Amino acid sequence: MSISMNLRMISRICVALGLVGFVAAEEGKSRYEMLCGVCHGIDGKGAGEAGFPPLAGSDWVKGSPDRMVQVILHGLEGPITVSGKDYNLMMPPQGAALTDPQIAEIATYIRGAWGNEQSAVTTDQVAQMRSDSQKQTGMWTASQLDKKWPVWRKKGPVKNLIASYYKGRFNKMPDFSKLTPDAVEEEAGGYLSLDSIAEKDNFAMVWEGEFEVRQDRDYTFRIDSDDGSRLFINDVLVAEVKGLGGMGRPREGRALLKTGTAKIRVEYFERSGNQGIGIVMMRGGPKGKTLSFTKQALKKGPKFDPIPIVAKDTARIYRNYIKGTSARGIGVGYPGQVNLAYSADDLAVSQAWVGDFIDAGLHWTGRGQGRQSPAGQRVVSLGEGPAMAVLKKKDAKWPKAWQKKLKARFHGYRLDEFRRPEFHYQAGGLEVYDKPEAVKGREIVRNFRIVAGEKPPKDLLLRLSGPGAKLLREGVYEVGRGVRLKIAESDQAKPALVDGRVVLKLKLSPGENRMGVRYVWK
Amino acid sequence: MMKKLILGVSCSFGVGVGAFADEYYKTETIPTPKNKVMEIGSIALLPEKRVAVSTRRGEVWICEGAYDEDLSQVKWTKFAEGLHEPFGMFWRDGWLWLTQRPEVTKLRDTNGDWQADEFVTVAAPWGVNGDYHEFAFGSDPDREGNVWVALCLTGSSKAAPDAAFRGWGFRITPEGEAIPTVTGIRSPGGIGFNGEGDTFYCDNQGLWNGSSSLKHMRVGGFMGNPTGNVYLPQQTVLSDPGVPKSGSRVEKERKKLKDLVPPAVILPHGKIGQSPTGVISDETNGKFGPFAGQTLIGEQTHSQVQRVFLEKVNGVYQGAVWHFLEGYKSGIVPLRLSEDGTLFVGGTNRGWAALGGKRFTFERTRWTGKTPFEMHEMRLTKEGWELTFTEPVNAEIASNPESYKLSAWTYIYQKSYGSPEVDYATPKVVQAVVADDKLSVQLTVEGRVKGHVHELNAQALKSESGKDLWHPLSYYTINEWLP
Repeated sequence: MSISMNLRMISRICVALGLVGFVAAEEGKSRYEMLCGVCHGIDGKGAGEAGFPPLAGSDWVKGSPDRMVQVILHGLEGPITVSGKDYNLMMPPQGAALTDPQIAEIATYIRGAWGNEQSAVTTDQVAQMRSDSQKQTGMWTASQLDKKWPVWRKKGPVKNLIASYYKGRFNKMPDFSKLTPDAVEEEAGGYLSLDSIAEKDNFAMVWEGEFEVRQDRDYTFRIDSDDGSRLFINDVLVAEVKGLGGMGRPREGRALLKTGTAKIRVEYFERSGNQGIGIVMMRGGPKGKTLSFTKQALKKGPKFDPIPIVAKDTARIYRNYIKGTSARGIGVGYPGQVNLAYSADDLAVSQAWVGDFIDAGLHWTGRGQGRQSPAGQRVVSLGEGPAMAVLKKKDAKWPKAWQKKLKARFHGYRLDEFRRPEFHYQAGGLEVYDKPEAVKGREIVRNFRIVAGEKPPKDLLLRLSGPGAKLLREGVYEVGRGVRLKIAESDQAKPALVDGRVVLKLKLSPGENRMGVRYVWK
Repeated sequence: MMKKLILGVSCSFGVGVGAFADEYYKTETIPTPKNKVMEIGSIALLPEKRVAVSTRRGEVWICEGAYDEDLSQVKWTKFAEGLHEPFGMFWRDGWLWLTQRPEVTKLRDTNGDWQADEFVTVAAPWGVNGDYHEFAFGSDPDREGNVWVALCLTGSSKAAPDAAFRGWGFRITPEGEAIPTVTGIRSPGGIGFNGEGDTFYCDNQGLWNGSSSLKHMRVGGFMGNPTGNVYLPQQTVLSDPGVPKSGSRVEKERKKLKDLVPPAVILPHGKIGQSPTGVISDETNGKFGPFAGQTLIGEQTHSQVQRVFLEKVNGVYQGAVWHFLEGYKSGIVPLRLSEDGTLFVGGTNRGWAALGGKRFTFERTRWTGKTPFEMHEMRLTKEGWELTFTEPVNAEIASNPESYKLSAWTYIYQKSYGSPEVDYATPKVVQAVVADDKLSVQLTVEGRVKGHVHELNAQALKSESGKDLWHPLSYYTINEWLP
């Protein structure tokens, strides 16, 4: 039996009985369950293990309905935080697929279900919201929504909160006892906040207030700020972020507190550029409950669980979007903590690094948005652009894309017994086999096997590095991050610098030509 | 009465009958390797009853024992890793061919250790620019041996300037030549062939797709979303299909844009799933039940498999869709039906939630041998439709026009996301003539609408033996009248 059938039958009965309001609620429920329930959960708790945002008890649902209705109308993309948890998915816009009464029914249902206990939404309200945002063409982002329709917040935990504002160019924490504030405000919102500061450079703040302690115990406090800050609990300095610098320098300290009221004092200064302050109190370990004294959340670590790809006994391959390599990226991790990324567009090694290979967590969590950076250190870029080119003039620029006449074509790779790939491509009438190998220590050897026909091309250049390479001595170049490129003497390939890049001028013989170059981390 | 009906609503999440009807089709979960995340994106059948699956994490695994009675004994071997989210894989001449995001690849094992060591790039005529939505779905070989590829738009809505041919379809010849074949794709979920060997893919509700639908990839066709038209100058095979008017109807725009291929079968959003995926044809000659020759499609959000009847009317594909199998444990993406009548399905809910709440699944479904009472075909006639059934109908009920309820609607054809159901119509069955063998009924209908999807509710019908229809609702899309 279908829903539409059931509903139509129910509607008829209910209209007959004068139960129109009941019908609307039931319509909202069934429509929610049909269209929204798979991701947000029939129980509103967010679907399963994949982690979709909840609506039950959500701070996006509470308060004014504008924010949630706008999300329904235009959709939402990019990272968001809902009730303290991070998500990075996409909510498809429903404004073109659902009518105002349908959206009102769904929103009313959500706001009344699962203990949300929020007011109903009328068709007229939805129509007004649709007109309010008629200029919105794409999907919303969280920051756009925050500006127009901020997330509902309960009052902050700090009572009797007084904020004192001091103008001045401070490079370190001033001695506030010698300064007179330029403004003093009571912050009824209960949060330490920089929102009301108009001029966001060259100032300092002192916040003072009280908060409730529910249990006698040891609490850990964490403070992070841009620029410096100090946290006092019951007049004792607990943690300090010193000097100039951005968020991401959190400091922790502990305080033994007794049930009842505790005093909090925070000193803060901002020189120029970005600003921010975050303070939390933690009970128990890192997974224990936290209490935030600030609206700004503390900077968190990566938003996904790490899934490191480790090359233990054999090489590992990771084809995906790798930062620093074109979108057709092929990462290769070798045993011995040497790694590279090959571009199947450029047909060249585009970067190499030592240490850990790569973390697949970004791509294997959620929708996998973004490009992953190498996990290791001393990442040397070996440049973008095609592996080969023909340049007529001496001072010509290296091309950004393959020259059509070279008819370049990637043919894939073959793995040896240690699962190391030998890349294969065709270009300029040549069959090129490029096999990088990790050698003991911090070194990559690239063995080229180039098969030419009866009349090998005479003017082809093979690129081995990015721009900015320096000749150190004959056959030895510095190519960045302390990496030396060493090229043995060969009749078939003469090294040279072209447009700042190390290239081999190919002087091939008919048939197979072999040559090797070494990249060594000093 | 009231209470019973309300209960009916709360139990029938989505559409359907609730419990998985084990009576007709039996589904079993095939255990996957312990502690491995097997988000299955494609399934291929190999010689000697081996089954290969590819995962969204870029691995290929080979399963032995997937056909056996005792599934606890299945054996898995990792064949390959490090691929870029493949969707579409088949076995041909000793190679596994697969379509991964950046290319069509063939791989094989050359030294007999059951680990692939040769990865040959067959063709890579399209671009990627680093967006997670740039999926590429590849087909099995067509009758000429070509692999068809359907390319999702960047972010499912844009055409990245540096990543050519997003929203296009290609044919890749066995030699690796790439032939631009269709334009106008939005967000495919799978690609395959019907019984005639023509190519179809599922496109998902969104920009220029009022609802999801099954679309025929006619060579040279325009699938409806003009975003990818920006790449026209980069090739010489296909000509400019033109740009449809936003806010119009497909039926109306078809008259102006000659290459526009109307959706063969609209899958009304919400009513018949929300994210259609894999496309296969039942070529088992009855080993998978009474629907030989029909088309099956996967459904990710509702964790289902739907059944489709396709016919060509006046040169254009159209037809009907019914709910078919449900209760799978994750979002179904690939389908694969073996000759012996085993339907393998795989699924994932990563990034896109699914009713079957598990992160991933690998399952098989087999016909129990018991035939459900179902509409078998819904074929357009001059006067209405001819319905055929899997077993004789109760002629008294079936000959009563009141036993059939119809409603029809279409969707706005627009550049914004999706569409409400619009232009409602209520066609009426005025005559129903039951054939002598009681296996078919000729319906005479007033008020059918060209360009509309028609919901037929035949819930009142009974089989001669008194059974209800397993799935009493069908949705027929009329693109053309019989000449």
